[in-house]
Amino acid sequence: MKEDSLYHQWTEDHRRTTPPDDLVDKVMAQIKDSPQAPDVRIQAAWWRVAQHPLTHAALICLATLAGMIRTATVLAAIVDLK
Amino acid sequence: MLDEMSVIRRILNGERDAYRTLVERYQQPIYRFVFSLAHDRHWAEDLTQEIFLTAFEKLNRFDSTKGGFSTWLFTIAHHQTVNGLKRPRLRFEKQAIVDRCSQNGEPVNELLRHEWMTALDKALERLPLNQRIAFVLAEIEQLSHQQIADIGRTRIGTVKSRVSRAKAALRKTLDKWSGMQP
Repeated sequence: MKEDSLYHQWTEDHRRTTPPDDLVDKVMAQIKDSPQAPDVRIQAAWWRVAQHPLTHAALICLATLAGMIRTATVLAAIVDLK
Repeated sequence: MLDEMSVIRRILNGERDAYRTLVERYQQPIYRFVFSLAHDRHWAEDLTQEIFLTAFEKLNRFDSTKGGFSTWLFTIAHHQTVNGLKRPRLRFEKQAIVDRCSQNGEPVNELLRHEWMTALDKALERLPLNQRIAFVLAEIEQLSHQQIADIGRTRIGTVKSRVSRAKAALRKTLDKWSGMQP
């Protein structure tokens, strides 16, 4: 069908849209020159620390400790009320 | 075939130049996606650069267990383009969505063809933004409905419905063209 052929040509035309030739160089220049760009190695190191099982264990310990302190505080308040 | 994960690991280990490989691979689909929605070459170029810069800065957050790099990159592109379209633009040159190549056909038919291609462009432009995004990702970029749902953080059924509505609207334009054919 003519409509199908036209639709096909239209989508093909869209797929031929190309970026400017120097786009890659511009992106790379921004990455190299940007003083604000965070150092991905430091971020990656933090990410590894955050995902480490020991970090999880430490967080669980802290949460348990916090829970225990909270329970103790509540109990103390109840005893005090009596 | 390019092993994207090994490239990403190299970048995360400080080899910034390795990022060029990813930019070279994805510059065309990302630029095409942005340009299809904005119709402004300068704006599309600026935004494509911003998208790649953001992706570089957030690369350590990319989790390959949740999906491929292209889906992740398109998620950033989707987010930034939608936000960008909401911002007022100082420079807005509306341009033809694509530069049409001249075809070797009958001049009258060629003129008609060009006219209806432009009509299709305009019909695409008139679609609601979420339908336009779903349509461009599905029909131009040929991504799966699941990938589009992941990119837009929506349900697959919603994506199917948006693509289907967009196609129906474009079909109306094509039907008019069919009726005017000699």
